[in-house]
Amino acid sequence: MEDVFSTNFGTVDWIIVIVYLAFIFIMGIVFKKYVKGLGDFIVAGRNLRLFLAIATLTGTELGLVTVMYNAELGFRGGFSAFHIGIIEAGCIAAIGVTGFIVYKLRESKVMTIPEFYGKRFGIKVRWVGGVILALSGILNMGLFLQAGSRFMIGITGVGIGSDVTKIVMSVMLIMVLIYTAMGGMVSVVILDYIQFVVLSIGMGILTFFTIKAVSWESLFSLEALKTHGSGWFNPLEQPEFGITYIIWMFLVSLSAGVLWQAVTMRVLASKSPKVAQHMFKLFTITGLARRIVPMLWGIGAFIFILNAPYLAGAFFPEAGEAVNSQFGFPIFIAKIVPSGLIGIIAAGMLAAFMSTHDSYLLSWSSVLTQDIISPLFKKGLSDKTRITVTRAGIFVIGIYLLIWGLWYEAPTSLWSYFAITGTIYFSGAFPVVVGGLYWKKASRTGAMASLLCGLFSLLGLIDWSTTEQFNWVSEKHIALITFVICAVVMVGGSLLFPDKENKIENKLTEA
Amino acid sequence: MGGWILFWKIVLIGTLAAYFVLAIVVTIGGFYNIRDFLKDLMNPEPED
Repeated sequence: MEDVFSTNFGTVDWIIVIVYLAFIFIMGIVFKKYVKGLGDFIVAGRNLRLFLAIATLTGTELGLVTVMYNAELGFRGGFSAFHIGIIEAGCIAAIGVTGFIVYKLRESKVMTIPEFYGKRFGIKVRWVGGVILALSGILNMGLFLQAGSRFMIGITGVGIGSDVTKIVMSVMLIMVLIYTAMGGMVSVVILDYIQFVVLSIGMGILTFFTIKAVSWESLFSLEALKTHGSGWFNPLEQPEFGITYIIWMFLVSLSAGVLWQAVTMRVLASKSPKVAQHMFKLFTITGLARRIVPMLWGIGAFIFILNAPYLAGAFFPEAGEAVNSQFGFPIFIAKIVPSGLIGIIAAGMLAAFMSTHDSYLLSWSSVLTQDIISPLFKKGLSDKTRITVTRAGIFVIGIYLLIWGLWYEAPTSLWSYFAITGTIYFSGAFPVVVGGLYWKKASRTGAMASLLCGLFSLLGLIDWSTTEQFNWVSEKHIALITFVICAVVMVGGSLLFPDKENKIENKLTEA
Repeated sequence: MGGWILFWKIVLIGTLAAYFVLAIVVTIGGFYNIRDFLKDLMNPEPED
């Protein structure tokens, strides 16, 4: 086992990482002075211009966790996994060209999706929607710390059989909690920009060393067909994918593209609806790259490991427990990138880890404050109280992450876990938002039913392969069925139980 | 199989090229956006 985790990561690399993270932390604190009110704290004063919007969106969505799960997809599924990136990019491009949902959402000047539910369908729908969104998002975050820990162990070689890595990740999380609670969206945006620049440099370095280590020809060789068959290149023949999975990915990509809170926050923080729309057009490219490039590294890792007997024996043993596939990527780069450069890569990735956490912590905490706690008060909460509650929420979620993230083990691949926990929210929210924006007959009964039916996808977290009658069921089947159910109940509920008055509610607790 | 391999090669090369061009543009443009962004935060315009 010791040889498997040997690494080029040395003292110089540790210094690079520590200096860079300290710089990030200080920058995060410095920008607190620009936060003057709730609007600045949650949506950066709605002042995001196009390039900054792209940088911050990419900085958040190209986190360490994204890299880890996409690399794992490439490691396990080969080039077939690319189909996920293509579907997602297609959906994002369509949203950018048509302005579907994002344009009208930015026009409405809401700060969260549940706030939109409240305006359109009433306070009860807002509250239920807020609970489901927060549940989905916070569950979704549950494995971020674990993925980050595995990256650290793989790249540094430290942490096997000890708690060092858990302590390091916990310290980083605490740093994120502090600067996010202080600077809100302003700190998030600036730091995301810095992460974007550093990450882009890191991506270039890693791609160069990946191709150098395994060679361009080997990447596309038919070697992997011996273990994976034609499914290595053809997604329809890859057992982990197939047509059901591809349809699920289309639905997740389309709904997440417009409704995932971290993305929505940037839409709502944009200077104008037009900027929001243009942001999506350009995000098509960065969105595609954030999938495909890490998948390439995962493929490179697979080829490299396959051709190193001591590594192949650890990852694909004939008997005994295999090393988790999530380690494939970090162990690979630990061996192919020289010291000095590996420190820059690690710093970039760990900073990306922090930038993803800051955005999601702010997202879910904002939902807790704006859509769950505040509506419970008849007269609402003052802006100052809301900021305080949001800051408290950031710390509460942080504690949950520390406890849950470091001991829970996902029964499936990282990406499938994220997709299924996201589906809890997307499946119900998508018909509600589409109906709310584009269909006058959409009613609060239909909306409530749709949101609640999204909880059905929780069944996707169960390992059905251990049952006798349902061992053919997997998360992709559960997810697809959930999307269908939610759409049906939205339409059916609206037609059978129309609202008595079909206009926007004005007597809600103010957002 | 050859068709799939060629397709993925095109996707990969196209993505890498497009991303790194965009990264340069966004890095430069984003720097100027930050300057304006911070100015706007210090001197906010009234809400419509």
